[in-house]
Amino acid sequence: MLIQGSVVFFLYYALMTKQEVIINEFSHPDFFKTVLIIGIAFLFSFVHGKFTHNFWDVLGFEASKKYQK
Amino acid sequence: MNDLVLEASNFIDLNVAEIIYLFVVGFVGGLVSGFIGSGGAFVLTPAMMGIGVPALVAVASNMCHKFPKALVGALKRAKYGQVDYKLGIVVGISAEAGVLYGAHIQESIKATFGEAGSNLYVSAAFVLVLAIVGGFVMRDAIKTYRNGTIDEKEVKTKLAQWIQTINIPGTMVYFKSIDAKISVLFTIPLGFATGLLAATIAVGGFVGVPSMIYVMGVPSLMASATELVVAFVMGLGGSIKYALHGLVDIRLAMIILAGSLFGIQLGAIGTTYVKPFMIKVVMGSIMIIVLLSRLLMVPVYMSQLDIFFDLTEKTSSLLSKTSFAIMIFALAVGAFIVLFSIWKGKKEEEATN
Repeated sequence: MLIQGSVVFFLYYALMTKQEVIINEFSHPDFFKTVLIIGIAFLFSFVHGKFTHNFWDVLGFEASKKYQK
Repeated sequence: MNDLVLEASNFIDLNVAEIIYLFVVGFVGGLVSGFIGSGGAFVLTPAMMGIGVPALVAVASNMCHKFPKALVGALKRAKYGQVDYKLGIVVGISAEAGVLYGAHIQESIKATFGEAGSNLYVSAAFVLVLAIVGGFVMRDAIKTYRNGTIDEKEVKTKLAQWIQTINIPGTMVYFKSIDAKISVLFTIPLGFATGLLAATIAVGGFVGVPSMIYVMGVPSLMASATELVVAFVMGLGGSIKYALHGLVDIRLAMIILAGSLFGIQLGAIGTTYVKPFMIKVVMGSIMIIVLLSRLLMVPVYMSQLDIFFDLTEKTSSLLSKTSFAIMIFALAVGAFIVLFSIWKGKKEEEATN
């Protein structure tokens, strides 16, 4: 989980430190940037989704036992 | 749409306080979405606008956080056997058509009646839909509670039973959630209405989930989980459309996603501890409270259009702030019920072991 957390942190760090690029580039659309935006959304959902799942798991928030069978 | 691109160039600078604010609102929105399959968007969009994000950028960025969130939620709830993928995709595709048509209606109203006219249309749609559907859902939940049938298997409505008896050759599709075949000629209009509402008030699930329950006969837990598939299909299509016009601020979308993925995991877990009727309780409660919130805004927009009301700027501002506070309250009520259900369910489970 620590590795997943580090990857999530790195992704968000990269996103927030490149704010200038996003403000300047992403508001001028083209096909490539659209693909990039959708790709970023999928990447974050995959990596961060796994991390958040394990995060609650570690804290003991799991599905009811009848759903775990 | 060229004008929209100009507006999009107003991507705002974000400070730490704004990032934390969006993260928290995203978390609460995700918590409710994970539980009832939708919700959150009606607060997220105004929350973004509140920190200076242009309206269309807020709508687009909300859309772009919605589809990855719905994907994670749908996959999680599929593990609990609650998702009917086929139904979600069929309804989702027709909902996409509804979104496009709804956006077209919005643009026409805005061009004819201006910003205030468009806002009045949205608020009126909110009030009308939430009064009818929200009232019905809430009444059903109260009836189930009063009859003491909370623990019993959900009974399909007469309408759902009738629809399942109709056989229209060439249009029949089997859906595992209802264990029966129904004609897509029934699912298409329902999906279209869901999309139309999503484009108008941002929460298509307020029609999508009740229509699956009461019209198609899908059990509540499966309907709320399947709505996440519908939201994914609608959100992906909408995001591509908005991104092609440079309206998606990916920073905003991913910050909200950061919070909402924590929330959606918990919301999904919550569904494993509750009786199906709790879906109706949470959904009905949120819809009725949001209805009050939007009702407050109707005189504000009517005043701006010089119809019947003539409010001072101070009164309008007070009503707007109260309306937003009530919306936050609606989300908080939903989140509280979800968290309380998890706590109670875990406690009961521990006591029986």
